[in-house]
Amino acid sequence: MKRLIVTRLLWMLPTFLVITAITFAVAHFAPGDPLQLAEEGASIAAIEAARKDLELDRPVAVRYVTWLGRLARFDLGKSVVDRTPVSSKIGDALPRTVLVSGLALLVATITSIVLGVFLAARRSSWLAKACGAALALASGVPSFWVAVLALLFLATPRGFELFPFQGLGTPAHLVLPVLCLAWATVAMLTRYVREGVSTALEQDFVRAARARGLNERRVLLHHALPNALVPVVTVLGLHLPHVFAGSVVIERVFGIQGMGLLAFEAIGTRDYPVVMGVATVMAAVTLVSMLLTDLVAASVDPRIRQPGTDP
Amino acid sequence: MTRVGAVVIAFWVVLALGAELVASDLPIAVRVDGETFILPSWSRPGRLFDQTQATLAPRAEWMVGTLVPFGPLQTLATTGTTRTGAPPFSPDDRHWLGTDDLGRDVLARLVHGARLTLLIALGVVLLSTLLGVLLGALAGWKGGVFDLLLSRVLEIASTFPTVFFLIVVVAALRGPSVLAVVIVLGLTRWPEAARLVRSEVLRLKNLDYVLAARALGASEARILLRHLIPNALGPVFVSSTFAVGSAVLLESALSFLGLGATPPAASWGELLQQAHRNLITPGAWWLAVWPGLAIASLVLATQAVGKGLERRFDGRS
Repeated sequence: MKRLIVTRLLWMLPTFLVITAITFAVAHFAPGDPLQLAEEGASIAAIEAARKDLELDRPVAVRYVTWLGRLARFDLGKSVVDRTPVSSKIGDALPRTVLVSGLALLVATITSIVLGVFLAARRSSWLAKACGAALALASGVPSFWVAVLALLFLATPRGFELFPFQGLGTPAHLVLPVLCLAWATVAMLTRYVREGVSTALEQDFVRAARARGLNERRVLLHHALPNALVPVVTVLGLHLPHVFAGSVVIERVFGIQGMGLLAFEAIGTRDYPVVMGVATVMAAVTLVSMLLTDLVAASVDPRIRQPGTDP
Repeated sequence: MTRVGAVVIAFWVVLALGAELVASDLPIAVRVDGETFILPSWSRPGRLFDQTQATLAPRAEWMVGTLVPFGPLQTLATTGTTRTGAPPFSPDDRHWLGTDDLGRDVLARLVHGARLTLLIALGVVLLSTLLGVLLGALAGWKGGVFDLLLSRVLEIASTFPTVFFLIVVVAALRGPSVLAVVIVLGLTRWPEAARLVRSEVLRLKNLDYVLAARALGASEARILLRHLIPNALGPVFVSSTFAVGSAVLLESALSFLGLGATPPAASWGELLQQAHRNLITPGAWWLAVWPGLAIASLVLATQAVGKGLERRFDGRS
């Protein structure tokens, strides 16, 4: 287990470096100068001074290395527009994104497991068949469309004004964004749970458990489900980048001031340090959460814990 | 289901290709002032500048109009609406699916939007499949360091925060660009194809027919391109069918965010963005419903066809 964590951590570093280096290069090979927009009409001397202040007068590679050095001290530079530290802007936005995505993941995981077990256990019932068809349909429906429709019918005067329209504040604000973000994950994950549980139900250890006279409920929850969960955790880990990407759209629809909206506002003002900071932090968050799912997968599956044995 | 899916896909492809024949400000063919114009919406002759089907109809000797007599960019000023008040207008017998806040016909934009949406999705899938097949085949064939390197690059590509990266690209390019979307998505979505081809090539390269080809003196490139890759394509074919669906979803999400198609060009995601902008005051449900249905129908159709292909390939091997 310890070896697994160490190798994983060691692999994360080059991955992180490659991702940030590519992003940094793209942001800085861009034509023009971010200051031109911010300081229109300023004197050349003032622009030069500001360029120096933001270190735009040095080569990209040098800037990338200094940027990395600062990053190690959690310093992401200053915003070009209002000169506030990027880290404080991200400090405001990140908790909102993490809150919405985290809750969505939690809701999606619980729903998928409950639904998946139900669908596998009652494979032949009409309700399970209807649910299966509905899930297949749901996987083709974009979550942001669901979000727009939900806003239209549940939060505007046109439909029922059950939920607040925009922003974040009360728990009621969270309901629609979390459900809409969970949508895509549920549609995907439930099928894996169902597949896993149905496969497990056909295997010998389940037959053995039944032969020992265990009741169906215990067979399902204590024997079939744990075996189905390992691939589910792996799939969930691979799906995490999509959840964070989805949160950008959901933030836009519901006007939540998270990382997505922060990056968007920064595009308009060509505020590279902010865009860069958001991309970096989201890359880090993605990597760390994938590491966490790897560790969860390892802790539930002894075969992953001991590398060398055939998984 | 597979057949239904294929029909739906064919429907959208035909509509995307012949968008001008279905919805256009100019007719399919018209004879006016002793001159005949065929498909003026493609050639845009100067003589018909400022003309629409509505203004041509009374003057023309004969005219073959389009089903929807509006172009995707035609605004309130030229659609000749009889409605009072400010757009967006709800569906009526002129605008079957309603209009947006500039008075543009939603059906016309939906039909023309199919073109951009499909173009981006197919571009992404072609680029990523090509890249994945080549790199995957090389890794499987060469093995060793190359294989190790590829598996690392695969890992990085599949953790790459595409959307946030695209935000950086759009900021750097000073605005959204369709080409940027195709390139960025194409360069980040190839791992699946690469994995599939790699494992197929690993399985195939020890078979006798490869040995036979080698014995006949075929070069390595020839074995790879003529013998291994064509035989390894089956699973990739299935996965790229599914990939078209997810590329449509992704494209529409990106255009919805304003990172893809640039207004006034129509794409399905851009149409949904219109819907979002018009949610608060007028509550224009028609703006939100139709483009979403279009996206869902195309994505579900690709999934149905993908499943059908999967069964066929499973049965064969």
